[in-house]
Parts: sequence; structure tokens; C-alpha cells
Amino acid sequence: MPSLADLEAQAGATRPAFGENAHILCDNLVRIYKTEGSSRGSDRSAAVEVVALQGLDLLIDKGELVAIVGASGSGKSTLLNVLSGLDIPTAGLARVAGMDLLSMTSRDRLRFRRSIVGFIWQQTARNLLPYLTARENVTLPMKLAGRRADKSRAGDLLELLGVADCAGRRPGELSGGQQQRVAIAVALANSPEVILADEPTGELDSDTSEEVFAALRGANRELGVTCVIVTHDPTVSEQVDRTIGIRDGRTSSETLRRTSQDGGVIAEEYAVLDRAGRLQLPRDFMNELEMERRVRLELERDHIGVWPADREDEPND
Amino acid sequence: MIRLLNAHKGVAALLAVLVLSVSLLVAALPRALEASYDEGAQRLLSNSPPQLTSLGVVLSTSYWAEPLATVQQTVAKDDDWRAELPPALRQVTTDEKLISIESERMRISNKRNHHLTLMWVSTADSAVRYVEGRPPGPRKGTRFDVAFASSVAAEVGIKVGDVLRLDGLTARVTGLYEPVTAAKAFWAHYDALGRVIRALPVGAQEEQMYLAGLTDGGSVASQQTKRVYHWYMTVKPDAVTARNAEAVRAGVTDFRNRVSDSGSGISLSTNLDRLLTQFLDRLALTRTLMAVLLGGLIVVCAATIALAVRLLAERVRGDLALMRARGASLRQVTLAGTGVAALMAVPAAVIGYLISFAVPGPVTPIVHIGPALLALAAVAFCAAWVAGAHRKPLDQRRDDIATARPSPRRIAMEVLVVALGVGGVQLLRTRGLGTGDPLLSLAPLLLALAAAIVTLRVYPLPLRLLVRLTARGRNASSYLGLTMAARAAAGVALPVLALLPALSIGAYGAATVQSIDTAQRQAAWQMIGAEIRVEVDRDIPTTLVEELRRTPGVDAVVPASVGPITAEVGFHGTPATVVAVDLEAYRRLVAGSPLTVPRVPGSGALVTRGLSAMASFDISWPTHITVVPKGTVASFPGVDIAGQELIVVPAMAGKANTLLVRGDADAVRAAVKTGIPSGAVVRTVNGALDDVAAEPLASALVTGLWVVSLALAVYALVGVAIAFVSRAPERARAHALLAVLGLTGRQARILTVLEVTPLLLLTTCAGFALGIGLPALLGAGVDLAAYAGLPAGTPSLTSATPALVFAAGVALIALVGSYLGGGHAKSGRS
Repeated sequence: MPSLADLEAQAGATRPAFGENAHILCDNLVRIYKTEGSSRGSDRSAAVEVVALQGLDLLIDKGELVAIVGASGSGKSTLLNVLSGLDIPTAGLARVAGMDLLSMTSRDRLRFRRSIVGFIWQQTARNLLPYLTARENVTLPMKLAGRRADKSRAGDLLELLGVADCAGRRPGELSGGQQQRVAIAVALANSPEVILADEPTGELDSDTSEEVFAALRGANRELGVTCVIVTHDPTVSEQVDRTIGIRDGRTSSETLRRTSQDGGVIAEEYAVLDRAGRLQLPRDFMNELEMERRVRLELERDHIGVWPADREDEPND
Repeated sequence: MIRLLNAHKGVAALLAVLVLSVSLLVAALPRALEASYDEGAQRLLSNSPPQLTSLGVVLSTSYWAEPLATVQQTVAKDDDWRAELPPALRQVTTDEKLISIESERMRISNKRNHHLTLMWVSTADSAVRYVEGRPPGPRKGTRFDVAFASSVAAEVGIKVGDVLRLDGLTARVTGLYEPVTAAKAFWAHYDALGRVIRALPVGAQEEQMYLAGLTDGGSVASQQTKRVYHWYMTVKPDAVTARNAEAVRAGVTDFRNRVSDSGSGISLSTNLDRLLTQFLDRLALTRTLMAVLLGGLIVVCAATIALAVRLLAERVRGDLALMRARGASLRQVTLAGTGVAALMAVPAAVIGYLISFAVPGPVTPIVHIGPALLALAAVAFCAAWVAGAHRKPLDQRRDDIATARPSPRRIAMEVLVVALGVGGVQLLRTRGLGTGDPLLSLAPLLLALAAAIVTLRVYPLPLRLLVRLTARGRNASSYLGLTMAARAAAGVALPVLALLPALSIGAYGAATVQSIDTAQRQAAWQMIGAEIRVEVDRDIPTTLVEELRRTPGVDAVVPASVGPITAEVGFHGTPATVVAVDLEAYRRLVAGSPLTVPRVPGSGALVTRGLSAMASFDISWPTHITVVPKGTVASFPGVDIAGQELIVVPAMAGKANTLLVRGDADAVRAAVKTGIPSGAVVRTVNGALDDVAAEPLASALVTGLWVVSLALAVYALVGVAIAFVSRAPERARAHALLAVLGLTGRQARILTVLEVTPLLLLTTCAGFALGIGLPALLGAGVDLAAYAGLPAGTPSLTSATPALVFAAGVALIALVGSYLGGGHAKSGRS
């Protein structure tokens, strides 16, 4: 039995804030798109709100390689746009490498895009300017940041990503995989702390996807850069240390992978419990047990049991 | 930036071509117009007799005044007058001196009904050549020496050595001369020295003959009788331009005041100010009309260039968005995007500006300012567009829901433009367009913009109705096409701003050209009075009239007598013009022409109002008759009464100096040439029409109208094409998807046509309505009759046909283009 003094000391002690040491932190993040109502024809309607993120929590440590998966419209790309500074969240807290994304001025936002994050899009052609060579594409962010175009660094990056021989070629003369690897080099040009990739292998075949993912993983390991990859591709999502599932604008699950003593990979999927105590049950679990509207919880010594509500318990209303 | 430009060279080239052509138009058209205006001023002065255009200081002395008793004093006085010239006049006058002294008219007592005026003219030595005798010497007592033109001497029977007795003086004829034809200015001012003036003063029984002879300067200067001194200052026609005409006119008024103030009996004799007033009135109207049209052209060109800039900005948007995401600041992105437009627009504007120097004409400030402003506007628009598009870094927006709530600022601006347009036109209706007020000349343009804004606001209404109607039908193409048109509604502002002013101003221009043509044709008929007019300086033989009637190619001939007389009304008589013609025959002759022949109630004569109060009066020509007025007439076709009275009487048998003919002009000329070898003048309506149309101001206006209307049509079509191409990627995607679902090529074309039809149709209707409504809206402010020499206020017909042809033509070409373009979209080539 703790003494009163112990309890007072416990109450007065400063507890570490949520995600205080995380490299990427999202706390109760909300993003709502508002569109004007249409007043035309039969589409007469009030203003429409699309809630893309509804209280999303996310913690990613420095140097992690994380995949984010989810169905179409679950909010993956919105999350990535918010994290890259291309979009501004409606509410909540979002912090990347210590920078608060909600309170940044436009100047801060510019600095953030120049030196904190690098971005890779799904469409290979969209990542590169078609009239510049691979090397020039890599040096472009340096110039835009007002720095000298460091060709040796560009060469090193292209070398690291295995496309050194493509340095003098334009995007039109490169394969899709090569283009994406050059795009990774472009994203790494200003030595960012975080790389964000939106379906980087979405337009590639499985072999090429493997190459591109290997390049990303290489950059993660060699340069220590934190990588967040939004993907549908199992060859990617099944090879990262942590896969975060997003459903209906919230993080719903996490899959952690570790290497077993015999060299095999052990993957364990967890449901995410947010700070308010909300938990998303996997939909197939719910379907299997025909769980609807209400469940019965029972606190056991070391776990909480979840049972479908008995039919006779259901109110008649 | 160069590489970015190179990647989008097609659109960039389009922008360059547009800016170049507009720059050329903006710089060259005003030059060409100014050159035409100058030519108008110069032709007006060149074609006017020198005695009307030169500045003549006239001093009439009395018996007792001897201000200038010697030739030297008289010549020196010329310098004094020139010193008084205002600077604007001094710049347009020559140094050539033309000075004269003339005596009062004296009766020659030893030649019945003859009178003599003695004259000295400073340049007479170079203007006459003595063919007999010698030039007159100094006066000896009361005897003067005098020289006459040999033709005058022959006509009145004078020879060298004759002595003419005057009142207390004698004049001995010492020489006879012939005029030197090169001295045109001299003979224009002193034609009395070369001919005998015959006149029958009221109350006189016999014709009087007035002679003028050259004498010694000192002799006439020191004569103790009334004298008249003239100092003429010749105006250089090519020195008067459209830009200094106002200053010259003001200078004439100023000089007139200075001359009048310098002493009694001194006045300025010139019609230069009246001629320039007439010119400046027409010039103001021409300039204002051209300002309306050029303003419309500039708006249309600006909108078209804005569309091209927008297309270019849209094409580089992806690249700029990537740069923005890669860390480019808004300034860097804006600079990159704007730089691409500037690299094209600035050199193109400079090239257009330089090419404009190939067009002859004076350089006015707009020649320099226009291209510079154009390039600046293109670059500024691009900067604003790029900055607006990339202000926020995220380039992905939800475009699946139409967002169309305009900002209050935009609504306020639109209301302001509409109010200004309507208010401006109301002011125009009350004040007229020719006031030279630049704000008023902008009113039609503002009205066109207001109409464009209203069209944009109204546009969704019929579209909504059509979409509802087609949604119930079975034809998918029409529904889809109209739905695509509705989706594109947010981007139609610029195309409408280009198309509607182009159609309305272009239609107005086409209608104006038609109206001017009508007015000129009417003027030509008014000048000639018949299809062909034959004027002879004596009575025409009856046999010639009959022969002409029998000539193949001649349909009808009406003989008439037209000439000035003095009607025996009042103590001194009243100068009038008599027209003796068979009005019924004349009416039949000109049936179907724009002419209106007056009718006589019963038999009798028609007279102008000044004579209508008379119960009857006599006239002595063509024959002595008593005129009994039966009605009034204001004018008669082909007869210039110059403000005097007009008397129209029935034809006199056997008396005719004019033939009014319908038929082949060449046949008439040949027959007249055979019948009357000399002294006959044949004039035709077509010839007169050519003369009227060749008048520089009118031809400049018509040429300007054609050029501007054509340019408006071209730019409007280019604007529509750019708007069409702007949506090409989206259209191609939609067509590709629909093709998978079974869309045929023909359906794709129909789809495309339906996509652009609502906008085109509504804008064309609005533009056409405004175009044909503008003449009515502008009211009496634009009197096109002035371009044809018709009296002010003469109604000029305005046909809606040219405006309709113009508007329908532009719309049709756009629709055909979209139909053909629809096929390309389907095949994925757009």
C-alpha cells in the first residue's frame, strides 16, 4: 500500500508528453475538406464536408522505415500530404522533426519542404522534370534552396541508388524503376530527415518494385533517414519493420516484424488503442462473430474480453 | 527556364504569335490611320482653291488715308503681317510673297458699259508673258499705263496704244500679255486679270463688262482714290496635319483678331478656319469611332492573349508544382512561370513594334506605349495567374464538386462595370459620340463588357433547362455534351470576354461599313442627280438629244436647264438657281434610285421658302417667264444652290444645258463627244461614288473598320480555339472512357459540338443583338452622313444583314472547328 507521500510524489511527477521523443508525431489529427454547395440543377445541396482524417494518432521514431496501408479513401495520401507540408491539417497536432506543422509560417513551411522532408509520388513522370537530366533533377532542389548545385553529391546519391549510369539521361530515356530511383535521389538531395513516398511502386512491376524498395531501404539504412511509405504493394508492406493500417481516417492496426532466432521473420499484428481508449476491431473479426452496435467487455486479470452482445440483451427498440 | 519553355514550345509559340500580331496591330493601325487623317487634311487643302486656303490681309483705304503710298512700304508691310502670325500658322505658311494694290472700279467713258480696275501685283512679272507692246511704266500726271490680257483685249476690242478715258484720268494701253500657266497661285487670286466679267446688275438695261489691267505699282499706290491692298500668305498643304490642324484653326482665329485690331478697314480674308473646322469635326468623329473599335479590339486581343497565357500557365503548372514541392518559394515559382511568358511576349512585342515601322505614317505616343503595355499586361497576367495557382503548395484539389460561389469583390466589380456601361450609354445618347470625351468613347466597350458579364450570369439558366430536358431523353450524346458544357462553365469567363465584345463591336463595324456605303451611294446620286449627267456650257442642240435617245445602250434622256439667275424680287433682285425640267420624266428616269423627286401640286413652280411668300415674280432665264410658286422645295438632286434660293420650273422646249441620262456611260460619252466636241462634261454616279469613297477620312474609316472587324473575328476564333484546347486533356480522358463504353467517332464529335454550342449560341445572340443595337443606342452621336458629304442628320440606313453575317460566320467557323476537333479528341490526338 503506497503512502500518501508516495501518491503525492507520483501525482506531482512530470510524465513524458505523448510522443515527446517521436520523430513524427500526429495526435488526434483532423483534416476536413470543405466544398461549396452546388446550387445548380438537381444537385442543389448545402456545403459538403469530407472528413479525410478523423482524429488520427501516429508515432514514428527517427530512422524508422514505416509502411502505411489502407483502402482507397482511408486518408493515407492526405496524411502524407500533411506530413510533407503540402497540406494543412484542420485540427490536432502534427509534428515532424520537431516542427509543428499547424503553426508554421509560410517561410517555415518553405524551409521545411527544402530541408526537412523529401517526397516521392506514385506517378514516375510526376517526380521529375522531363526536360532535365537525372543529375540536373537531383541538383534542382539544391538550387531552389539557394545552395550551390553539388554535382558530386548528386553523383553520390545516384550511385547509392544504383542509377549512376543514368546521370546524363532525361526521364524519357529511363525505365520506370530508374525514374523512381532518380526520384528518391531528388528527394534526398537536400539531406532531409524524412522521406515520404506515396505509392512509389504503384506503377511498377514486381521486380522493379523490389529494386525501388531496396533503394529506399538502402537510403534508410545508409543515411539514417526516416522513411514513411504509403503503399498497397505487399512486397513493400511486408518487408518493413512496422506497417500501420489506416481505416476511416484513423490508425487502426500496426504490424510489427522482427527476426526470429532461426532467421525467419515474425509478424505480429496489433490493433491500435488511441489515447481516448478507442480501439478499432478488424472488420472480418466483427463479421465473423456478427458483432454490431454493442459488444460486451469483461475485464480479466491480464486482458479485456470482447463478446458479442446476447440477442436477448438487445433492447427492443 | 529556357528548357521549360522548350518543353512547351507549341503554346509558347502561339503566345508569341498572338503578342506579335497584336503588337503590330496596336502600333501599326494608329500610324496608318494617322497617315490617312493627314492625307485627308492635305487633300482638303490641296483640292481647295488657293484663295480659300491662303491667308489674305485686306486693307481698304479711303480717299484721304495714305498709309502706304509706295510699293516699298507696301512690301515692307508684308513682313509686319508675318510677324503677327501665331507660331502654329507661321509653321504652315510659305515665305512666298503675293502682294497687290488695286484701284476702285472706274467707268471707261469712251467705251460704253465698260469698267476698269487698275492693279499692281508683286509677282506679275513671273505670271504674265507680254506678247505685244511693253509692260506699263510709271504714271505721268493723270495718265496711267495699263496692260491687258490679250484675250480680254480681243474680246472687248482694245489694242496697244489705245487710250481709255476714266473719271478724271486716262489709261494708255502699253502692252498685251498672256498668262503663264505655271503661276497657278497668281491666277487663282487674280483671275480678273485674265478675263472679262460680264454681269447684268439689277436695274441695268444692258450687260456691263468689267476689265482689270496691270499697271505700275507706284502709280496705283499714290493714286488719290480708294485702294485695296492685299497681302497673301500661302499655306503649305502638306504642313497641315491631323495633329496640328486644331492649333492652325485657333491660329487663324487669333490672327484674324490681331489683324482686325490693327486698324479700321483691315480684315483677314480666308476660309482656312472654316475648312479646318469641317475637317476637324469629321476627324473627331472618325477618331472616336476608331477609338470605339480599337478599344474593342484591344479588349478582345487582351482576353485572347490572357487565354493563351492561361493555357501556357496550365501547361507548365505540373512542372511548377513539382518545383514548389521540391522547395521552390512562391517567388521562384512565379518567376519561373512568368519568365517563360516574358521570354515569348517581350521579344514578340518588340518585333511587332519594329515591324510596325514598315507601315508609313506618323509616330504617335500609342505606337510606343501600346506594345510596351501589351507585353507588360501579358507578363503581369501570367505572374498573377501563376502566383494565384501556386499560392498554396498543394496542387491536388477536389474537382469532383463544382465550386461556383463568386467572391463579393467580384460581384461588386461586375455590378460596377454593368452600371458604368449602362450609364455611359445613357450619357452618349444625350451628349453624342463626337464630343471627343475619351470616357464616353469607352461607353460602348463597357456596354459590351457588361453584356458579357450578364451573359456569363445568364449562361447557366438555359443550360440547366437543356440538361433537364436532355436527361429525360434517350440520346446520351446530347445529355453528356451539355453536362460537359456545364462542367466547363467555370472557365468560360475569358472566352466570353473575348467573344462577346468581338461579335458586338465586329457586327457594329460591319453594319457601319454598310451604312457608310449606303450614305456614300446616296451622296453620289445627290451630287449627280441621275445615273449620267451631261453638262454643257451652252444650249444643247435638240438634234443631239434625239440622237442620244436613239443611241444603243441609252435608256432614257431628260433635258434640263440649270443655271444661276437673279430673280426679280426686291429692289436689288434675289440671286437664285433655276432648274427647268420635266419632273414626271425625271421621276421615271431615277425610279429605283435613292433620289426623291419633288412633286408639284398642279402646274406651276416649286421655290425655296425665301421666295414662297411671293404670289409671282419674273425670271429672265432660260426664257423670260413669270413664276407662280405652287409649292416649296429645299433642294434638288444634282444642283448645289450654295445657300441661295431655288426655283424649279417646267422644262422649256428647245432650251437645255443639262442632260439627265440613264444607260451606258461609255455610249453617252461617245455620242456627246460626236455631237459637242468641246465644252461638255459627262459625270456618272459611279465616278462620283469613287470620288466620295476615295476621300481619305472616309476610306481610312472604312479600311480601319474592315481591318478591325476582321481582326476581331480572327482573335475571337483564336480565343475560342484556345479555350477549346485548354479543355482538351479532360475532354480526351472523357472521350477515351466513353469510347470504352461504346462511344462512336460521330457521337464524340456531336458531344464536343454540344459542349461548345450553348456558350457560342448565347454569346453570338448577345453579341449580334448588341452589335445591331449599338447604332440605335449611340443615337445621333454618330452621323455617318458626314462621310459622304450629305447634310448633317441625314438618316443613314443601317442593315442588320452584315452584322448577322459577321456574327453567324464567326459562330459557324467555331462550331465546325469544334466538330472537327471532337474527332481528334476521340482519337486521342488532342
